[in-house]
Amino acid sequence: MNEPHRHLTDEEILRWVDEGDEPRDVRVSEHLERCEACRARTSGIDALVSALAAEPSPIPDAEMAAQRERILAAVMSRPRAPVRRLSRRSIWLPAIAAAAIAALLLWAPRGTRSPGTATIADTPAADSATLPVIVDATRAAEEVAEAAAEPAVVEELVGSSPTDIMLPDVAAPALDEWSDSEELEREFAELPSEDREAILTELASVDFINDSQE
Amino acid sequence: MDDRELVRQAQTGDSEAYDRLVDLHQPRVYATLAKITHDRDLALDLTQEAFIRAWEELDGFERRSAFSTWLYRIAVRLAYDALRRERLRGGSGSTDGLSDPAPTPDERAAAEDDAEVLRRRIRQLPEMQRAVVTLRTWNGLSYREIAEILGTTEGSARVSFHHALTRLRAWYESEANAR
Repeated sequence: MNEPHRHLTDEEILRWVDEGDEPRDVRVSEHLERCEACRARTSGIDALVSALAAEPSPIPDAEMAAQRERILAAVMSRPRAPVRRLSRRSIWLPAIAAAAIAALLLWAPRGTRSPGTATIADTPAADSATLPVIVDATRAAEEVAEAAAEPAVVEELVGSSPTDIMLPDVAAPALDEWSDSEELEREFAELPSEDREAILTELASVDFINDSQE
Repeated sequence: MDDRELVRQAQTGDSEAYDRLVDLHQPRVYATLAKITHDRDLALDLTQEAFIRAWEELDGFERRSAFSTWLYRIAVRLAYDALRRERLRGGSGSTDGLSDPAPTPDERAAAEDDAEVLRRRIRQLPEMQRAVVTLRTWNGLSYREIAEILGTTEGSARVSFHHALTRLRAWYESEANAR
């Protein structure tokens, strides 16, 4: 920047103009003080930004007022979209599904696995026979999580419309928010027993892995 | 009464509170849309649509951001969709092409009006750049706010703005040289 013959780059000038009220790069400011060519380029960009900031043609107040009337009329005649809040049960479904799949993959007795597959612990290195199963299961869990956020799917799974179940104002947790299995277990244990049973029943009826395979 | 309180009341179904919000934000939303679309009638239609859409979805607004940011997000998305439809129809919408089209004789004649040159060139910018240029220069928003409205990152918004300025300046200079 302080070299006598090096002019500012376009990016340096753009950033300097764009910084506006923020503290500007002192080296650029110093260069501009003594370099007429860069000053001219900078004022060109400055003029462009000023032109861009010009007020658009205003619309007459009467037209604005008429539009406001139309908006108000439309507002009075239209119902608002209901809030898509999920019940505690449907919030938990994706998280529990993911945990269940992980448990199936990691801790299921070896005898229940099909021949040729192995647990991660059995496999010292990445095993091409095992990996697709894990990948598919992870994808299945993600799909279940995404599907559970859709009102139609929630309705299908819990037997009532999400609009009917305005329970606590909580957002559905993302899967990665539930990475701590102890916390997951504790939170699950705190659910009402009927919800725990319903979730487990629903999980038992879903074949995640087969659903994920095309 | 501030936006936050008006929104809270409107969320209970108070249409008068919402009317007040419309009154407060309508001129600026219209102006923003007019700057992005450069089409007065389209901007008017989109302004109306934005406020109706916002009313319909108001219960989903959790007041984590400013109401204006949320409203601009709806309005700008509507503008994006409208400009994209216009472009697909082969209208005067923006282009993602990087070439600098040579000015036609008609364009040269129109170039006498710098503001008109600028308007015409802005219409050739991609939708994202048009929106960023407007939100940055006219609305005076920070990159964080722009990113929130456009659903992008601060870095991406900044780069879009700089690209837009570079292209506009190049076009502007080529017009000036052609005169």
